[in-house]
Amino acid sequence: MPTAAEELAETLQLCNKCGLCLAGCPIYKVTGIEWTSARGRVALLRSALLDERLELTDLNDPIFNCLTCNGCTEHCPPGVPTGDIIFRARQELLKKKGNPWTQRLLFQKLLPNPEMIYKASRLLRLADVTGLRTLARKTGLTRLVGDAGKAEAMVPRVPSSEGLKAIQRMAKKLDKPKYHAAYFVGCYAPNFAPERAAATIRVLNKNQVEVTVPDFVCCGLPAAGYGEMESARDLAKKNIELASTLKVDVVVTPCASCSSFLKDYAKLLADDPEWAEKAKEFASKVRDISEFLVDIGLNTEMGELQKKVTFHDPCHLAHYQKIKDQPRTILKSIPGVEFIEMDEADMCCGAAGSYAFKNYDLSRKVLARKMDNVAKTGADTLVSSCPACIMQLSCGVGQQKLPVSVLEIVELLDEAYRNAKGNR
Amino acid sequence: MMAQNLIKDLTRIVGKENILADLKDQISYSYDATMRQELPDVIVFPRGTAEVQAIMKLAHREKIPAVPRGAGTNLSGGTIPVKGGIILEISRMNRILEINTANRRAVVEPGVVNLDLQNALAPLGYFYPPDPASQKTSTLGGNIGENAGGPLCLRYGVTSKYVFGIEVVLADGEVINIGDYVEDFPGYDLRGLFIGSEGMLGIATKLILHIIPKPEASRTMLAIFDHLENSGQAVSDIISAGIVPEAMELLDQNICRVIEQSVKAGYPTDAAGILLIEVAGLADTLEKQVREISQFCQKNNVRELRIAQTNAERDAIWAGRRGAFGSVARICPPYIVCDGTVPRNKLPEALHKVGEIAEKNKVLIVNVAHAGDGNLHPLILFDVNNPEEEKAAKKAGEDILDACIAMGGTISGEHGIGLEKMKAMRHMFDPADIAAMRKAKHAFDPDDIFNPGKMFPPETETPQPTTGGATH
Amino acid sequence: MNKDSSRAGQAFHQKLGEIVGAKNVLTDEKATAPYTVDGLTPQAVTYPATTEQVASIVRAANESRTTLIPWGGGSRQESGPCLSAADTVLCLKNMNQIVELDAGNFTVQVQAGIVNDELQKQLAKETFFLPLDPFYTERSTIGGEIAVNANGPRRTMYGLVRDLVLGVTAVTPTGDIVHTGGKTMKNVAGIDLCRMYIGSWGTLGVITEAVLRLFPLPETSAGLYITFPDPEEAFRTVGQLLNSPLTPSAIELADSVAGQNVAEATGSKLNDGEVLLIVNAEGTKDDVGRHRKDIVALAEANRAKTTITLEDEEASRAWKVYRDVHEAMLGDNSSTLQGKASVPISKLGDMYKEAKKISASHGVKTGVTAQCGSGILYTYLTDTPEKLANITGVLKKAAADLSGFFLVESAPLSFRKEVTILPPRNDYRLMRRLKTEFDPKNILNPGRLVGGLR
Repeated sequence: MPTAAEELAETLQLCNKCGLCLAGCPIYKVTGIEWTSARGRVALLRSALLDERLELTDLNDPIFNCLTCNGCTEHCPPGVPTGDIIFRARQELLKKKGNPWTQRLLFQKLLPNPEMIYKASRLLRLADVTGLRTLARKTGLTRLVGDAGKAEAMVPRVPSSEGLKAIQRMAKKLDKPKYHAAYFVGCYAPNFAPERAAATIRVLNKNQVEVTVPDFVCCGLPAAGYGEMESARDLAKKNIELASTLKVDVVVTPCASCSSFLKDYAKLLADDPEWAEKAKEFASKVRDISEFLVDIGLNTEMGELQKKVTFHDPCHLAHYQKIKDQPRTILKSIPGVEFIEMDEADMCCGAAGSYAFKNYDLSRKVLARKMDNVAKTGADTLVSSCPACIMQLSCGVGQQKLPVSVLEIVELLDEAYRNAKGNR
Repeated sequence: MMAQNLIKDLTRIVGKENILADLKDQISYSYDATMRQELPDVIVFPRGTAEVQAIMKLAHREKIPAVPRGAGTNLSGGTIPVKGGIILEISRMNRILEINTANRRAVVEPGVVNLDLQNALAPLGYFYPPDPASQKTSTLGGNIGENAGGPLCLRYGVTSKYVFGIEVVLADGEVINIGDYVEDFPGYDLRGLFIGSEGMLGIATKLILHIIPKPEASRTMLAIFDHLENSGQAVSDIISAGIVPEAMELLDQNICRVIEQSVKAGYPTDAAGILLIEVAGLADTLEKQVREISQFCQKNNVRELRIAQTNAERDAIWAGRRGAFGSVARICPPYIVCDGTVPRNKLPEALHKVGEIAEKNKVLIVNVAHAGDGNLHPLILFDVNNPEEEKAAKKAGEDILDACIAMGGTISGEHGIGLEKMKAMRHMFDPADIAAMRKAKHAFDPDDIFNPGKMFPPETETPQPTTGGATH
Repeated sequence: MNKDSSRAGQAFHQKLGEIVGAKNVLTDEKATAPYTVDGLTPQAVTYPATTEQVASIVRAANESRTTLIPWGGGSRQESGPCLSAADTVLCLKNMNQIVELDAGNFTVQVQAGIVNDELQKQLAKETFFLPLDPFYTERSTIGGEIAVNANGPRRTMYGLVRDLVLGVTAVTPTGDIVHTGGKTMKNVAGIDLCRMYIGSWGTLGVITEAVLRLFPLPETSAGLYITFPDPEEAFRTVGQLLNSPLTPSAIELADSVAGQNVAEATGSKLNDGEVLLIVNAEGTKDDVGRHRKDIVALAEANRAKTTITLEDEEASRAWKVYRDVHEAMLGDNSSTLQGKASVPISKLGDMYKEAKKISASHGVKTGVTAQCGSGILYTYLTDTPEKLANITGVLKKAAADLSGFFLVESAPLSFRKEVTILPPRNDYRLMRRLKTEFDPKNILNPGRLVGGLR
């Protein structure tokens, strides 16, 4: 049985160094440094795992400052799975270095527990409301924690919220539902954007979808991103177990990162004989919201929205799930909307989950490039479909003082439905 | 290893964010798109001519090799630092300085990516014809280093035709301007010498390029043949009639089979060869060209002719060709790609020869060719884990180049000599020819600072005496 | 000339006789006088028959430090900086054969001494042509045209000498035979010495053979002869033409002095201040038809005075009248200077206006033609040497102000001896090093290149 490291080494040999991946790599585009590209990272991993010229522990930056956006794979002729390679490399590195207690705390204690996440968000809200957060920022206290401190400014003011429970109360029965969906709310919306969750439910209802909001836990992507596979698998099992008790057609979510990782549960648990089948069954039910709405036939009874709209493709939607047409179909079907395609629409915005908290400058540079592309379109509305992207893009728009509103696609749809005649 | 004080000097010139010297950095810059690797000492990212000049003055003073590099996608070993030294990485000199369509000029820094320039020109209705397959990654500076081609050069010509002026930093740090923004500057054609000189004569820090209006329209067709001779004759007939297509790509049966394994392009897997033909020009003249091409194909026993009527159909026809190299890579990532070129009318004969060579060496060879200008791209596959097969593949590559020379052709149509074809230079050129090339090199770079160890086969055949240490 | 050198000269001439046969070495005054160049009459003229003979000659010349002047048709010997010495003329007129016409590959390999027009005649029999149409094709040789980078109006569609020459065989100044390039359309093997020889004015080697790229004779052609009341409108038409997907084979412009005969030949008239714009199109009937339609429309939109469209035979005749203008303007060459300005394409109209203004204010008789697709302007100035020296200075500055240059291509000898044809730029030292590498003893065409390279 080959070890994980041996399997990883074999995957590395798919690369023939053609260099076409450089065309899809945002980090390469903003640094011009070879080892920030897929080809370079693969070459360095080869040097460590096959040629033994380097230690894996020498490669912290090449392994961790990859966005894992998979933009490279779009250009790769032999199909080298770079995002996957990086994830596996992180696991190998973690095996060698061990994980810091902060990581263990975060992934083993905090993330699996929605109640705790809610409480943490209330603490942050307290810091906001009392002005403590602003004070910490202004006095430079936040800078003491390095990049995480710099990135703190990106996290928006925490709204008042009653967490998942309030959202669960919004789910109501429909008269003649065509579909039944379990809404995977994720970690962000209940704590930082409850109105978005409300909008999601309304939009689904408008499309004759009856929504339930089960007590799902974190999908596990953040843990996997740090090589914490055991934590990720534990979270997956919890979600799969919960879903097996539901009588729904689909598990739907407006968060591209979540839908992507939930679909990967089959791969995540493929080697676990007890869970493999259940994971496959679960994954086959997962839908991203754009994908789902276009599939079932979008309700087009909308009011007019006079907006110039452009769309940023979340990496987990475009590169991981290959979903690109559906959000555009939706946006183009809103009356009054002028849709403008931006350059490099599917290039990462630099958010990459918590990337900015460890690689602030690179994240900023990638965001700046995205903002240039947004500005060039002349749009007044920037739409995307992932809370991390929305957070990052809002930050960018604010910093560059662009006259652009940043919205989730469900929020725009919700607005269109509410504008329909006879609805107000 | 480079002395610390020299690294300090270089850091002072470019700033500490623009110099790399760790082992992982060195490894990253030790390779290109071939399989060889040699470590440089240091990598610098100059941002302008003045910095390049200062670096070269230092390199010249200390006699340190300097290797100019763009994206490192070349297929001949051109950017591999076989003698160590400084990698002059131009990726941060990437501004488009001027586009003037009325003058038909674009002025750019060498690190601009080819496709980025095309995208800047497209909204103006202009383009820069050299379109190598690597264009979405390769830099214009790199294109000039190799005199890059691409399918479009059948109709429009190669890079050498589209570069009017170059600002060059020479080995001793002198900055010169060769060629000009305007045409016909008298004197020796130094830019002719520089283009395709594979980074051995100097480093370009600014390029003045020739841009032209896009054609009004184009039409695409796929012609399927049961015999390679028929496709070759069809190519000749078409060109004899005064039709100059934008692209004429020939794919043989073997590569069609490989393509269809990955890309469902609908290419036949039982035809000797297929021709992808695209004509471009004035809209009202294309219909007749398409008719004539069809007639020539019929005359040459074409089995089937598919003519694209919509953009989607056109894209579908191209999808297979575009996915060709990728399909091969999926089966054998380190495939060997040859670049031999023969006189156009010898193409069918050359392909037969390639088939014989494949049999003789017991390897699988699949073929893509730029049929219009006789530029073959045999792709040689082998079992990665079988060193015997790898050796046989390399031998097959050498045999193919010899065959091309025997047919009056050349050992490289687009990819350059670099390291990969140094040996073959002796088969193609006399000692007097190579001596003359060395004279040109000597005039530019008497101390052999720029990209040493490339292109010219070593002068002596006798093996070097071993000194007990590692030799290159 | 002292006794030593005349003895050395005789020894060299004898060696020449051994190489090419005595009857191919001429030393009497009557034979050598026609080969006088820059006021220097050579002591001998020799006519080799093969590349090997050329190599032997050059080796011998190298040993005895005899300067050699390669000679084709001699049509450009009055251009460029003056030679500093001219011991022996090496004339290639007997090396004038087609070596191989590869109809399948669209290439022809020729000996360098073949006259351009003669080659075209033979190519036409096989329905090919070489789109190289500089001045003097009735006597210039392919080798000479390559050596001086002689281009003509057809460059607009087909490219320059460097785009049409695929390979060159040359004898280096030290007597080695080098084969550069090849016979394929694409060739990047090694350093591009083929292009180095193009435009090297015989200073880096003697070109003895070349492989050229051929094109099938076009199905049809047309010439549009358009007069404008004003150069402004003519140049605007040119700008619009260049910004379109049309691909004319020539875009030429002549002022009323240079264009008078041509206008009359087409049945129109050019008054003072008016200009004649000639646009040629060649290719398939469809292509040419579309070009005619569009160009006529452009002309009308820009208020052309008269627009005359000629085809095939008629077009050839009118075109010949235009091509003859050059020699007509040069006259007997004793007081006419022909200059060439090269400016950015969009500035050609400005350069034209400046040239006319300057010559008017200096009171110098001037004719002007232009190659509009390349930003090239030819001026023919007739006056005393002092006035010519004066006016060229002003024209140089005018061209430089437009980011271009102006140089003197042909002029009376006294003028050329005095004035720097073109001052060297910052690549001059490199050019000199190249010359020294190839010709350490400076025996080939000494003095002949920018900055008077020696």
